[in-house]
Amino acid sequence: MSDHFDSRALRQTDCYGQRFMKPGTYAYAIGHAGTASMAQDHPFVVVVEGDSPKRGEMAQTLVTVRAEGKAFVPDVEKVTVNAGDMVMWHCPDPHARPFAVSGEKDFFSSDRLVNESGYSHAFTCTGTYEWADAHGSGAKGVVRVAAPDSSSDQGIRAWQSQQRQGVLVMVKDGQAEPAEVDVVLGQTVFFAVVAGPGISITDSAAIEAGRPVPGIAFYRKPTRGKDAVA
Amino acid sequence: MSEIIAAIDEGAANDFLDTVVAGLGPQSTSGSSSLGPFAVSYSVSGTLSNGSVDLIPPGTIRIADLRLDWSASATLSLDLGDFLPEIHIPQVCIDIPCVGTVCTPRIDITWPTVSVPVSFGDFVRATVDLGLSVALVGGMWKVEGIVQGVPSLAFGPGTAAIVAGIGLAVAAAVAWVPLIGPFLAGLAIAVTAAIGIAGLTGWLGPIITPFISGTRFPIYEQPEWFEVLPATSAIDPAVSVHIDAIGAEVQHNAPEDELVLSADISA
Repeated sequence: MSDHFDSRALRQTDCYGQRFMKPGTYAYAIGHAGTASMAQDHPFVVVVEGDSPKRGEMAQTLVTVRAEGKAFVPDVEKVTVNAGDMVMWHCPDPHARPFAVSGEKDFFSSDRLVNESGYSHAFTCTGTYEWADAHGSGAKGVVRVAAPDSSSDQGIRAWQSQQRQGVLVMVKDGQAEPAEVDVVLGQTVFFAVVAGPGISITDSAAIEAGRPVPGIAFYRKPTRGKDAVA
Repeated sequence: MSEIIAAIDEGAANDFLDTVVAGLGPQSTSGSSSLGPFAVSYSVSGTLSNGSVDLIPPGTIRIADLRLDWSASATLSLDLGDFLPEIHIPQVCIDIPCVGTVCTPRIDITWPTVSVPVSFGDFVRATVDLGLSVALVGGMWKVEGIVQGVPSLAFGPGTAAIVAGIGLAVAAAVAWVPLIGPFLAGLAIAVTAAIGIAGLTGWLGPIITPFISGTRFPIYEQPEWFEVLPATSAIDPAVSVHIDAIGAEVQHNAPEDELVLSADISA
C-alpha cells in the first residue's frame, strides 16, 4: 500500500489554501478533479474587503466541502475575508471523489498553485514519496514517511506528539526548500507556494502513470516546461 | 433357514470398509453464518478415510478413528471500527515565515469494513456406530450401514494454529488501510481472541458433522431378480432367481464376530 497525493485532486487528507491579497470578489467553482477548471459557472464567491494586508496578521477561514450527488458544495457559498487572509478548502468525507477548486482568476486554483497558495497532505502510509510539478516547472522533492514506534505507550505518545507538528516545505520559482523531509505516519506536510508559474504538488508515481490519482481518467497535459505539449 | 448365507469377519470387514469409504468421495457444502463477531460466507469440503471396524452383535458396526480431512474457504466481513480505536489526524498549525500561521483541520479517520478471504483445513477423528439397514429400492436390494446419532468430533491441536492463521490473514488483508500500520499487531490479537478455538470449533462442528452423520455406507447391493444360469439355446432359457428377503446382522460365532448377510430366494 502506498499513499497517493496530488494537489490537483484533493481528498480527505488534503487541504488547499489560497491567500487573497487584494480587495475584490473572487468567484469560483468546486468540481471533479481534472475537470473543475473547465467549469463555466462559478457559483461560489470569496469577498475580500479592506486595504492592503498587514505583515504577519493573516487570518484564516476554513471552507468545508461536501459531496452532494455528483456535485461538490461548500458549507458557506459566500465567504468574506480581509485582504491578506487565507481561505482553506477541505472535504472531510473519506468517500468523496477527488475534487478541485477553480477560480475565475488565474491565480486562484488548486489545479495550478500560484503565489500565496498552499497545499497540505497528511501521509497515511509509510514509504518514500517523490513528488514533482505535473505542469513541468521542475519543482520536486521527497517525503520519507516512517512508521512510528507503537510497541510502547511512550512510543505511541511520541507518535501522537509528532503528528501534531506540521512540516513546512516552501516552493519558490521551481525550487523546494527543504527538498527532502522526513515525517512519521499520519504527519502533515504543508507545501507553501511563495511564487511560481502555476504548479502542482503531485506524487511522481501518478505523473509516471499518466494520471493524477486512481479513479481519474485523464489529466491536463503540461503546457509549460520541458514536457509541454502544443 | 435362508437359502444363501454370506459372512465376513472383522478383518475382512476392515478391508471392505476401507474400499467403501474410499469410494464415498468428497462431500461439500456452502453457506453463510457467523464466526465469532464476524459475518462469514463459506464453502467447506471433506473426505472420509481410515477407521477400524469393530462388529458388535446384534446389529452394530463400530468404526473407530474414522478420519475426516476437511478444508474451508471463507470470507470474513470485518468492521475494523469494532476492533480499533477512533483516531484522527490532529489539527496542525504551521508558521509560514513572513506570512503567518496556517492551520489544517482535524481529520477523523473512519475505519472501513473489509472482506477477508481465508483458507484453512485440518482433520478430525470420530468414532461412529453404524446401524444396518436393508431395503428394496426400485428392484434393488440395498444393505447399508447408517450412522447412528451425531458423532462427537475430536478437533486436533492444529485448530489453535488455524485461529492464529486467521489473525495473520486478517492483518495481511487490511494492510492497505490508511494508518493501520501501528494497529496491525493488536488487530490480529483482537481478532483471534474474538474467534477463539471454541468459537472456531463451535462454528465448524455443525458444518462438517453432517459429512459423517448423514453418511450411508453401502455394504451390499443386489438386483431383486438375478440370473444364475445363462440361456444356452432356444429351448434352454436363462434361469433367474428372485430374492424374496435379505437379512443383515452381526453375529458372534466363536471365536469372532461376523457380519452375516442371508437371503431367501425363489425361482
